Amino acid sequence: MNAAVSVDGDAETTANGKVVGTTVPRADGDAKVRGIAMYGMDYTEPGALTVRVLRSSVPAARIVRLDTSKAASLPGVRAVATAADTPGTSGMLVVKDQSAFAREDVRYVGEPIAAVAADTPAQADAAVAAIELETRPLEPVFDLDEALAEGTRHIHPGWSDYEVAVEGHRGGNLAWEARVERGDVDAAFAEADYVVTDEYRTPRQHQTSIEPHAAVARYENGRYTVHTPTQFPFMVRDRVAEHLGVRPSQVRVVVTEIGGGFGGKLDAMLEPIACVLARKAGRPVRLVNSRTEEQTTCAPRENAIIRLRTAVSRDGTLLAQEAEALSDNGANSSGETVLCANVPALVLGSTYRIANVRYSSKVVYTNTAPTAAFRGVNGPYSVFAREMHLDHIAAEIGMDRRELRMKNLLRTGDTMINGQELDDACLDVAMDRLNEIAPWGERRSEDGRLRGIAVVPATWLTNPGPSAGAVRLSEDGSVVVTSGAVDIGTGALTGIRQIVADELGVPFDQVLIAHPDTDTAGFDNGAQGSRTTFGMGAAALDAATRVREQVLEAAAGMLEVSASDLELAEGHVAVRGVPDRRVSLAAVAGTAMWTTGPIGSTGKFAAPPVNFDAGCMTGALFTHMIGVSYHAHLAEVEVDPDTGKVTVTRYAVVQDVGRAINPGLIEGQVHGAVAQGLGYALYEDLRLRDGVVIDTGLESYRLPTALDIPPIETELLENPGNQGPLGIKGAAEPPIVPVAAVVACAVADAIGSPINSLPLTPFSVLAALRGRDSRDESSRSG
Amino acid sequence: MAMEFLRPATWDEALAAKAEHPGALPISGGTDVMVEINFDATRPEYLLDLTRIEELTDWSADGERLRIGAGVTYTSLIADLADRLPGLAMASRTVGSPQIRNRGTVAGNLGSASPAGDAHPPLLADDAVVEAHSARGVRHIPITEFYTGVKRNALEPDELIAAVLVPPADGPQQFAKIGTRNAMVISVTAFGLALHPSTGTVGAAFGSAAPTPRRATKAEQFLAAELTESGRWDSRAELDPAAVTRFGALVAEAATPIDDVRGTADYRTHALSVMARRTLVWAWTDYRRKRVRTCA
Repeated sequence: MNAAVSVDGDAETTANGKVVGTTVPRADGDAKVRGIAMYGMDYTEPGALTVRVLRSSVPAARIVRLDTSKAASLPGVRAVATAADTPGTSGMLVVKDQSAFAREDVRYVGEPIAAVAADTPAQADAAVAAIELETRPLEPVFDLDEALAEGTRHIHPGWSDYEVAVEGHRGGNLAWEARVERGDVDAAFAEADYVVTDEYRTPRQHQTSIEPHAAVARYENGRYTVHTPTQFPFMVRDRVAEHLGVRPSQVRVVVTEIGGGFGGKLDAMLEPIACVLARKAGRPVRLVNSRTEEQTTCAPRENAIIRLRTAVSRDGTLLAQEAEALSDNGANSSGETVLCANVPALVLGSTYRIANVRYSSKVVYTNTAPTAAFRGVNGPYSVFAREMHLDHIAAEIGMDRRELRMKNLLRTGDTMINGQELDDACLDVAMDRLNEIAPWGERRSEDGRLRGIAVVPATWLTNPGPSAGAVRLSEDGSVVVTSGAVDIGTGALTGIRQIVADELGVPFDQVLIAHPDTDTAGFDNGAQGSRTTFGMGAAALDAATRVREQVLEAAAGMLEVSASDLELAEGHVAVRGVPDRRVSLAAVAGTAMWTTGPIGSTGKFAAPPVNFDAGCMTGALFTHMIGVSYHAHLAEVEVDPDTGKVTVTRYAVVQDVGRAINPGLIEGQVHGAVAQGLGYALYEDLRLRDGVVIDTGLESYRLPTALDIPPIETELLENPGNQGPLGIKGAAEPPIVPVAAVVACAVADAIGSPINSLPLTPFSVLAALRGRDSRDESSRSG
Repeated sequence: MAMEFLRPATWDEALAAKAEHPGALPISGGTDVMVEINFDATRPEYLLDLTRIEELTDWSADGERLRIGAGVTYTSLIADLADRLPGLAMASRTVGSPQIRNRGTVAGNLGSASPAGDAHPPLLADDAVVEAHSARGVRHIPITEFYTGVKRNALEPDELIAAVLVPPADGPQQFAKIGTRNAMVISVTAFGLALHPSTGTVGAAFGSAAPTPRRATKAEQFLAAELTESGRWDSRAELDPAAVTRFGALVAEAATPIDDVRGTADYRTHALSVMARRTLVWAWTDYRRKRVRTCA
């Protein structure tokens, strides 16, 4: 464990001329601040047609008749597409249950039924209005428990015929189930001093990127080219191909700048529709979502129910735990919800020692818009349930809340619930450091406001996906990295440039990164789970290492010394100890060009294998963690006893990042994640009534503003891992994971009463205060 | 549908245009109108741009009242008039964001007449008067008669708001607002209070808890009588807690809120009683402190 690093370091290079570890200004910042950057919604092509989509207005119905002939004959209409044009059935990697347009049935309000490409927006709107659609209502299914109940209509009557990547426990409205079972749960419950039971409910949270989804497609030489602000170009390529029934190599995805993703732009959404219309119209087409389409159809974080039952001994030892997590898949598996089914179990069992567990995580179909990944996926609600439940346990056994956590905390060498040993765990260090920043203890009020405090430790992972990249030395001595990695605004590609710059001894601004294009770049697993600097960083470093060897070999010939006597710095290769004897990288590149050939290499990364107990899990697609990082968050809150308003007065984060490539950018990610987490804790709730989204815009869907966010105290711990390059671990995703939990625990502390659902609106807090008061009344009178 | 954009250079031209096209929608800061147009919620045949008429952005002392031109923005109101119109300035500070306050106007709030407009409670509490002009002449509309329904006001189709007339504060004023977050938020409910020691009266009004912004008349009368009969206007003695509670309850009783996407009727009624009590205590504390300062 190294000492904590300062996030204020603004030195552009360290003493030895290296840029890793310094807050280099992000390479894409200037264009974005000036408004020059070309985002997906800014992009178009000459002659592009406007696309409008006919979406379902009902949550569940059988399509009786769909006639687009009148629409197709209207002026300016160049193409109309329906399910007949998209024969494929797709889905996010696991269950293939989604068609680009509704086929026999519509399954959610907002589901695409047909789409039109026309010369003008007005013509496209008129054509959509002229599409004739007759449907017969089906019994809609909205409630998670009801969906799984005997006798409830199956949203996918043909579920057993769907193609699946691996077999798992599923059936009817159960899209997927993952189970973890270890130890002797029943025996532990039988000998427990206390058994504590709780249920938690959490809402949908929308990614609410400033930029909506957008796609511009054209069809030429038998191939589709689509420009899109996607986080995961290779996923979009494969999904478009799947929907259209063509080979992935017939689709080229070019990534624009992205105006926010947060998980909402991992999956193909508009791209298949744009591609099929481009082919049918013989013209480029452009499709941009309205804000209402974003809110109502674009894959938010899933709503969930978590039921916990824990056996505890008098001294606070967690003996055994049972959990049932129900996650709303929505109408199909186009998002990551099925893929992440086992995440609640991993979250519940990754921070505290619990020897005996029985966890079941169920992903459930409902007649609502499909859900998908949002920063931290299932983590924020799983940690919320875990920590609120721990506070309940602490109250039951009369133990201090922090002491209960410290007693059960996983330490170095302990194993998580999947049998994976954590050889670098530093949860205790993070908790201790937090205690130095803001010592634990009761927070008293002097003005009638209710005050509360909470601390929450958390373990998180880095997405383990693979990467390929290429690095080449240009003739002018600059370096170009080609990759499919995308910068969704985290500054990850700035970090990769820093890594490559140091490896090749060139100034940071001499490293360029090509825009991602699936025709030219190697595979990359997408900007998700904090993996870009980790996975792509490793691939780029691998390639740069090989380029370095080629440079040294060529320079050794030029300088007539052994390669082992050479060093790279300041864009030159020099003889170690004789700085005057040096050649520029431009000269090396030029010489190599006509002798050994142009200098360049590919590099790659795949996550190393990890030992864990596969036998304790069934249906788990996320089985273990790599790039494991350790966190501790603190919140202090004030609650207005009369209005129920919650004010977060202090927020502190201690975060293990392995190694900080760019401390300032990481701090920015911490701030953004905490802000998003506070939104989830206090404000955001994508409400649905009878399958219809109520919050169709940002007037009623409330994101936090700068005035809602307290100063955030951040401390980064450098606890190097051995799976990513240079010891780094994923850093951007995890700081959202504990936020709702620590705020909810602090509010419960303030008001003396737990609130087991999110968000903690003034209305629910006031109701809890009134409930507490009436309980006090009845206990007094009793 | 095409939309004509009218840009009168003078106030007379503006009134003539409004007479000729009574359906024309006046636009100044555009913070409300442009949202409606951009979301296609409204599509007026004519937009009447008032931003070229410079005198609208002026304010002046007009006898016993301040005359605030229809083009005066929240930002300049806060900068120039916070000392004389503290309640309206407090409400103005809760409007939108700095960018919106730089463009939005009190007159625009009146034109839209949304029950949630932040400026309405202080205008009601302070007995403002709306000065409406038309090619036919000038009309002074007492603020209590101005709001006629949800997003409806007493203006005739050919009238434009020229100014709003507000007496400067003769006593403490307060404003409180509950939103679902701390900024950029339409109120769940809001409350404005003005104490008038010179006349021994009280102004108390709320927004977002009835079809229109509304005065809590019974609460005003109760508190004025309580302060007068107890001699507190002169003694400046501490308030009777029971009277504070009663005031809050009467304010809540005047409300007829609904459940909507921002909050429930039950919460609004409760929050109004809380805000009424709190603003009264704050205002009275101000009033008592002022005496101390005067004596010293």
